[in-house]
Amino acid sequence: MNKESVEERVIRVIGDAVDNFEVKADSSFEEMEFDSLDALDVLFDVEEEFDIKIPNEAAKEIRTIRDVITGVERILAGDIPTEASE
Amino acid sequence: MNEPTIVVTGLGVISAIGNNVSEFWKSLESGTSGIAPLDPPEPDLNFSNVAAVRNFDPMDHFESRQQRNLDRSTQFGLIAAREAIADSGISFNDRMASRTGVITGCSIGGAATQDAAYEKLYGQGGRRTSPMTIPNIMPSAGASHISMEFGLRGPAFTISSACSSSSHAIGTALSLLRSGAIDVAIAGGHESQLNRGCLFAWDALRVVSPTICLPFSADPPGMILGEGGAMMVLETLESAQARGADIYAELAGFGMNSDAHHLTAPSLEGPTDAMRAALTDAGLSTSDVDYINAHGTGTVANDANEVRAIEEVFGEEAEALALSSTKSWHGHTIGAAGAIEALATILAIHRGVLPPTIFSPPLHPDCDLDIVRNESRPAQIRAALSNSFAFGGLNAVLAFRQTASNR
Repeated sequence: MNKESVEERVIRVIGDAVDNFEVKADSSFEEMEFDSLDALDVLFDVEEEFDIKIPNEAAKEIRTIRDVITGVERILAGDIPTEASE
Repeated sequence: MNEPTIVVTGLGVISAIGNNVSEFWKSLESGTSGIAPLDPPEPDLNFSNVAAVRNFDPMDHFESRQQRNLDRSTQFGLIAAREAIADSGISFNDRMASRTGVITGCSIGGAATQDAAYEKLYGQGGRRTSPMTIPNIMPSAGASHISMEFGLRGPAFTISSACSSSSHAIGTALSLLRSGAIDVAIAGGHESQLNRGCLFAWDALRVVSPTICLPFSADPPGMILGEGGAMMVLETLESAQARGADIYAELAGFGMNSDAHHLTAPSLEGPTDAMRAALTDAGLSTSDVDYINAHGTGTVANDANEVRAIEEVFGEEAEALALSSTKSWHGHTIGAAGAIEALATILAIHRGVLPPTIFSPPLHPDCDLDIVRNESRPAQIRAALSNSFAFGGLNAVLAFRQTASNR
């Protein structure tokens, strides 16, 4: 079985949370008609999927699916300190 | 200035005995119980039956995204409001929308959401909870979702007074309509409390029946926990006539007070005075009332006291009125109870049928009243009361009257 990439996992998790929209890596929250609460809601799903904590400062900057994928990859690589920013 | 007459022009309900008004009334009229074994069972409880909403798939009503933002309790409120608004035939232009209020009753709030979130945190050692936890738990979520879905921009808020919550909500809507603060109200309540945490909390009070709910019987086994939602559209008679709306009944009066007595045991004076206040507010005399939808929880603490209070208020006239507790069919729905029972009362007036109580003899020795037993019966109901007497002594009584269109 092929291991699912971070990108694939992000797209799957966020895709599960939206109706009538095909989520792609270059989709923006704006075109998905996400408001601030919708964004919070899917970031929670992403945190659950990867068992990570997305820092509040980083969460504020996220506008696109690409931002999410990049952010998750950086957190998993240890580039973004998560616990200290809580 | 004369206060306007306020009428009911739309009804909506979801409950253990029906997921819309037509099913609900059919169950009441035919005496069909909504009480069934808890699924899945909880062997550690002292009871095993509940009155749960059945044949209900949220996906039939909401898109998956919207459903994530709605606790089960809120779903019931929104579904009932949709039916009531459609039933009333009302359409909201900009001015009407700005003059329409949404007043809901909800006692516990998003209990299923809270239970699940805390189970995850405390039970499973979770590290986070969904950002929708708070918006889904708040008891006022129903009022917000109804106002948002229909663009209703008048006052929207929620009253929490335990088992009287939605009677207080409907009564408050009446006051706002009479004062001219609003022209239309969506009023009612919703509750869902059949999650594990709430079931055990109720069990601890030792008031839940191990079998069924038998109000007014000599040895009542206790109450049955229910869930659901009910909403009504209220407007001035003038507004209803102007748009040619069908009118179910007049919301004629409201009486409320508090026992200032005990957290769970009722006083005699509180319910007595609340019924008198409702009659006075409605301009009704005791001989005008043909039916009372009792609070009738099927508990030792409530029923005998409620019967005494009715006898106190109605004196000799008490023998002429019919009494039933529809809780015996749809369970005690707490924050939704006042609204669900108000709907039963309104439909009874409108259809000219007295809904029954599940009854098994012997009758409580202190009860000499005409309890409608097991089978509905036709009757001309000129006026009726719907009683709510909550834990903590919070009493709310609604008075409904037949209108010219019912006669």
